[in-house]
Amino acid sequence: MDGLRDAVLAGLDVLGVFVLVYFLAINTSYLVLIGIAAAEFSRYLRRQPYQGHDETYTSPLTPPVSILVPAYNEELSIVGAVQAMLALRYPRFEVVVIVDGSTDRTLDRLVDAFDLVETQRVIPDEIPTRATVRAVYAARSGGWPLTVVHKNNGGRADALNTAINVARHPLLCMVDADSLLDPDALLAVAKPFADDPLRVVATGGVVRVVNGCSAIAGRITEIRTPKAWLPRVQIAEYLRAFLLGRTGWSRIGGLLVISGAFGLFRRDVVVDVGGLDPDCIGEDAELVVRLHRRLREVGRDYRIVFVGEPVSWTEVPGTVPVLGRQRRRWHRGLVEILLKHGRMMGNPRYGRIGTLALPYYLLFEAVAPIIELAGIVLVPLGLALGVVEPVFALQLLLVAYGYAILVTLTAITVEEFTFRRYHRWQDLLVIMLAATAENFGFRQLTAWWRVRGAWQALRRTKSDWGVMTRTGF
Amino acid sequence: MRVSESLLVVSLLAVLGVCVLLVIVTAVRRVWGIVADRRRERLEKPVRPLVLMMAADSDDDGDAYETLAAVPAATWNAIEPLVVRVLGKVRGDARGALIRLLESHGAAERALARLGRFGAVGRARAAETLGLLGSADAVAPLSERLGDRSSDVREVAARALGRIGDPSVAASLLPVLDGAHRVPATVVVQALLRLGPPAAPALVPALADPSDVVRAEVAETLGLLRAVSAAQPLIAVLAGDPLLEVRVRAARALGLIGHPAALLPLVAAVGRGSPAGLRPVAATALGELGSAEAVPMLTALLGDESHAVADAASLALLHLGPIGRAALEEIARSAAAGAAGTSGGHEADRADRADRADRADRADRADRADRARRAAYAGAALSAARLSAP
Repeated sequence: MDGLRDAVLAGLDVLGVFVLVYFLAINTSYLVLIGIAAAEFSRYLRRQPYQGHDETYTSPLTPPVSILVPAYNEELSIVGAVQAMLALRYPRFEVVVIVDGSTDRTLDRLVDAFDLVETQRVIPDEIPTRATVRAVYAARSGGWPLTVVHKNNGGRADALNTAINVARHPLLCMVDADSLLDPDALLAVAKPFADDPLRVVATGGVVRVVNGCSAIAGRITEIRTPKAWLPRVQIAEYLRAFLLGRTGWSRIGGLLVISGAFGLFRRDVVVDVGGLDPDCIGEDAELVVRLHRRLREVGRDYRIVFVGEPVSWTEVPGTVPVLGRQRRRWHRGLVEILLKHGRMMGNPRYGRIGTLALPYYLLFEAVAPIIELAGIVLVPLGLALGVVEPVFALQLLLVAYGYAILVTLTAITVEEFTFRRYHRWQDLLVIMLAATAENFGFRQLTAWWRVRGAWQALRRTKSDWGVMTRTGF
Repeated sequence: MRVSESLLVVSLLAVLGVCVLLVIVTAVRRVWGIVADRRRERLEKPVRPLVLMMAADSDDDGDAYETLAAVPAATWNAIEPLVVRVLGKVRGDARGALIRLLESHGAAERALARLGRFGAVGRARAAETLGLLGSADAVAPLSERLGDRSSDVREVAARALGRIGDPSVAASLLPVLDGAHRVPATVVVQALLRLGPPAAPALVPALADPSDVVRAEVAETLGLLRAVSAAQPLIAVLAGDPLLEVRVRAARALGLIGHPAALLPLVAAVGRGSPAGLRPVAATALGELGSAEAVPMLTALLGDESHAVADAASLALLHLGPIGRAALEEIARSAAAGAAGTSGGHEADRADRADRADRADRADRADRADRARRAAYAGAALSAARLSAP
């Protein structure tokens, strides 16, 4: 017993310091990214009065966009989402919905809502696809720039690859079927392509949480926080990680992830790299990493940019099982990408992606849940064995999680100084409380799910997207 | 090594202190925002309907103008951004009245003075206002700002010059397309388009500019301006420019201009020996040219191995009107019944695969595959035409 006690004591000595330093480092890195993002937002907002969005809207040179929407069992939200996309303020675009072997009434809803009829369409095989196309539909009146492709189920990546083949325009906007875009969202994410057409190959838009908001005809009319705590916590998390984190990475030229919920890509470049990888569960992030890799290898001068406003609103999981599946999938995708593109890691040939972004994602994203779980196991173990004083353990815990809360509160403060999307005092209070609540239960659960996702990736078990239960808009 | 307890306590207190500070700062920012919004609302509310009345050109007796011209400085500062925003969206008499209102409050003089300020944001905002006001006096100072060290200011100055609409600035806008003081091409081209056809003669010589970007954007602009006088120089560019992108833009421009002399050069550009990026654009341009002589070439292209070329040819035939549609219907009629399925491309590909397995001779297989492809593209084009018919 003494031997075990000594071993735990020795382990705690080393690990205690290591975990604390690791926790400080990871949260400090978030703070740095938030600082960079805050400066970027400040610049962005000062430029707003003379940005010239109206010029972009009226210019014949604004590149036309194909909006690609993969849909699997989205009967509750698909009509609202497509209505929102068709109502976007953009000079020329088409919407291509791929009904990916849905077993619900997704196709019927679309046919009824938009008066669709079966039509002929030549679909090239520029990107190889796996599942067979059953039929192509278009609006009877031709009034909507909408094409619906009904195909056998082949997964999200295969659906998007089919959509890329169908797309006629030079820019591809990949959007989730459960997303609502702000009316000017497309103008904003397309602007970098117009400003720097030779270099910009992809832009990502920010994704915010739609749960709790009101929407009419596919347009957000009132922004509120939801009643349940699980999506509330995700609002704080999305603010910190997606809005500010990705803006920071974009500013320093290390953006690795463009959310599948809202990203814009040059079609020729995507076709050139072979489209999305249907064998990778994080296919949207993998595409971005592959773009970096290919373009660096051929020595092309390029940019991948994140745009902080306007936004795509997406429904986040409202139940623990659905959230668990999502986080397992996300982390599995991340680990798969790091394994697949491991040769880029630390390699100066790939610029900041190789020397900074990928090592960061390995150390502070892929490994983080393992270290966090180690801390979660070791502290109670130390307490049980009597080698850790309860007061000391509590202080350690409070410092670590207090710093994490501080980081999220900083993100909320930046949001308040910049976009201030939530107007009600009670929503502000809820998000601040959620920033605290995140650290008690939510964080530990996600660490567990993420470790399981990493394990699945390492074991290469069969990937499964799982079911996302929708409530609709 | 153990973490010192006192260090932990200090850290904990520091973290707690910063958290509390962040909460206070956020709350103060919100209160400040609410107070500022209310103040602006209080000042704006009584006069906003007057601004909207002027924007709707409903101020027949001029009362709204008189009232707004006489508001105190604090009220004017609150509503000036609204007036400037509205000015960007209206035309005609309403625009003239709003410009007079802004000038009565000295907006043009203030903007001209701010154009030389140190801060880039101030200079850019001033340039934006001057562009909206459309003042001819601002042409020279705005032209100077095309060389500003701030890319924002250069961009807004180019846009403002376009809005003012003096064609004499066309040549001075071209150098900012390339080089150290670059402005996004979309902004420059839009400005040139606002100058209108009178700007075209100044642009034609730039088709021989040493800069690839300048040649490409000028070719595009001449097409969008429908500059008939530029047809011959563009034909020369289509045939001989060293950069493919410039040739592509020239092909597109020739289609938009619609000059009959472009037929043969475009037919040559769409041929199999041409670069892959040029062929579909040339096919589209042939459709826009509106010449019946393009029909045989376009129908042949429906069997092209490149989807982009075949698809562009099918849409070009539709664009040609009844004669092109008749050609498509003829192909669809004469094709094998099974070749025009629901997703024609796959049918065509399946026909290709079946043909590969077939023991028939190579020429026969190629011929059948070609017919299948042409039927698929013709069927798809006709299907699209039926849906878009009124």
